[in-house]
Amino acid sequence: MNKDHHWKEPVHSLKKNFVTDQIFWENEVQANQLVLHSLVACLIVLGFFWVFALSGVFDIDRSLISMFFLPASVSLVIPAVVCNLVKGSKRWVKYVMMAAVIIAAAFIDRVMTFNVPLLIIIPVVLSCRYYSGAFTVLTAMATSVAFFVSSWIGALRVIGSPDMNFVAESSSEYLKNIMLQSFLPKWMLFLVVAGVCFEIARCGRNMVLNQDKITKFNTRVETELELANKIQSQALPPLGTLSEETNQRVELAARMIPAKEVGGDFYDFIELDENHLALMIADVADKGIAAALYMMMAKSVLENRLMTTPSPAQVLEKVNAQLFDKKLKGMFVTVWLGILDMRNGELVMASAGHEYPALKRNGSDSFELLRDKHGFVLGGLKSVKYTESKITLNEGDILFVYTDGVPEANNISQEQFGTDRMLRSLDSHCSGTMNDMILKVKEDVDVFADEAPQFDDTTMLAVKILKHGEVPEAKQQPDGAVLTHKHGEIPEAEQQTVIAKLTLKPELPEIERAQQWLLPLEAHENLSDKQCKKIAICVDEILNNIIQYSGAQTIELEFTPGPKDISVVIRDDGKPFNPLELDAPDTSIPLKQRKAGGLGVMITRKFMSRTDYSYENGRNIFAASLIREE
Amino acid sequence: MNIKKERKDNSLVVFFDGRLDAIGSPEAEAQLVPELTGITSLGLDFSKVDYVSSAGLRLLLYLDQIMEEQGEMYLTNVPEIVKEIFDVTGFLEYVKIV
Repeated sequence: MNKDHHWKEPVHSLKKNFVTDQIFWENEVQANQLVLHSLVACLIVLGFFWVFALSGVFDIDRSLISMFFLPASVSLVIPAVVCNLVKGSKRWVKYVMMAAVIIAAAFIDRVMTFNVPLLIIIPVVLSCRYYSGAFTVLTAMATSVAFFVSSWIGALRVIGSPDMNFVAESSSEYLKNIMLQSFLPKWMLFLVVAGVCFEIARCGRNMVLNQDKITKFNTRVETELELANKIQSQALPPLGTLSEETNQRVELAARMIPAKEVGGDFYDFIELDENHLALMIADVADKGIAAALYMMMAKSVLENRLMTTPSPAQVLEKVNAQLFDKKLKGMFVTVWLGILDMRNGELVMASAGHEYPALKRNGSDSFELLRDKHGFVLGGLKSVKYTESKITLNEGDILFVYTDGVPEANNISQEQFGTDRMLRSLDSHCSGTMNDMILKVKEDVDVFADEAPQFDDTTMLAVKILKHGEVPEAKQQPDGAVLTHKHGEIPEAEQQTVIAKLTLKPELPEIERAQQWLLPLEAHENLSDKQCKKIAICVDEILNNIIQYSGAQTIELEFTPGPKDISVVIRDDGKPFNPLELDAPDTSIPLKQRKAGGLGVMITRKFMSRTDYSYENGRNIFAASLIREE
Repeated sequence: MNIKKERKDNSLVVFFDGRLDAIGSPEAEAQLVPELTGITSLGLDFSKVDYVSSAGLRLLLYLDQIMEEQGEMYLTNVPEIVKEIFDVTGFLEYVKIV
């Protein structure tokens, strides 16, 4: 153990002592290397001096040249060779080399008395590279002694060149003047340089210690991030744990690829009961550690809420309030949440500012974005209402949800991957397993991004409906009169003779045209004013829904008077949506606590004697009938 | 949708004429809401309302929420069919009909 390492810090634990020694030992080996190179450089310079002295460029007594240059060279060469042999990896190397430099310098000083005033500072400048104040002080002391002796010998005119400035003086004056006029000022300046070198050595020491601290800190952070990454990926549900019944009915695949060690994205799927599967994908604003922590919190809050509240919109509403209460300004999360009824493929979903899902119908060639209703992101505003939409996934349909890392992946020229490329990529890879599809999409994104680094977390979840479970029995509605149709049943209204048909464009003023068109038909059937208004309300509500939310291009309205009842049938080519399966709003809660959604459908259901829905050949078919008054 | 308004101090009575549906309700909302500042009593006359659709119910809900904070809201001359709509949707219990 080297004593120098205890400079300034005499007390520390054994462990720290050992580690610190280790660092400074590594540094010492490097410093030895530098000093060794300096020895070689000094040798080369010395060679030039020798040549210049012999050729008379330097005014030096020829008899003295070999007497001083030879031992100076030898004192440099021998330690240089020895130290090179042990590769500078011995504790004594630095003492040997420093002594060699000092001795060589003192020899040259004796022969070149006035030419080389800088010679005295070489050893001490070299010593500060060891980052040890003690070693620099030791070097400074040794140099002082060596040069003092050299000057004294010179002043006594024992040997070497006399200093030309003082040669004319008597021998006693000469000694006094050499020591006072020549050595003293040179030595005092040397002390200043030595002091600076001492400070540099100490700063170097602190620098090394700090650097070590930073390196250790970085290593610790890396280890912790690795651990966090492991925990985070374990927090995502493993695909293998789904029940056999679920695996028979749906094929699930999901993946989360964080941009940094940890990410703010997550996906989740939970089997709420044997028939209901909750699917979720979310993206926390920002990325990195803060986003990852927020993600873990949001995920558990969402999961807990999902266990007690089986409605996506309500889950989002409550979780939004909970996250907002945390008062984490600027943090928010976008979530898409769907609950799939595996018996019949019904998917109820709600979105808190998340990307549109992509849907491929069985038999269709291509994925298309499902432009469901968007609510505001979670955690941003105190109270937000979310709208649910409902679609039916048929056997073979594929639903793909993702985070913005997919469409917003950039290539080097700042071009985005985009949803179009994503959809086309999905189209070309959807024939294999869902897992393959996701991996291939990621590959396409990577090929597109090329050299550009992954900027955002990338998460994807795909679900394919393999087959529907057993068709549950038609639900009996509370009022006993309404039947909800499942797939395969044909609404009775369709089997009756259609007597009037009107085609409508998906614009709100068309509702008025429909109402005017109905009036003479109703009058012809001798319907009461009340019945006409009930039909008018029904037509108004259903058309309104279609025009505003379905994305339909054409709507057909049929009026069919039967012997016992009057039917209206409305067909549209918009996205599949069964209004009858909207949860009826709870009419017993006070108005101000209620949201208005679902009321229109509810009014229709209550006013009409019978309502039916089916989806066939790409069309929503809604039929409602009213029993004739006696 | 035609709307007639009668204002006396801080009370306002509104006479709707037409349907409170997807088209009529937003029109009514645009005309009414800016007038509500400082109103403590809002009366809505339904005598010439053919029917109220869910869009109309949303408007009522919205007005009710505004008036909750600054005073009272009541409905007058509500026809049978509209009452029936209020009944099935649960509005009847919570809106004041005089």
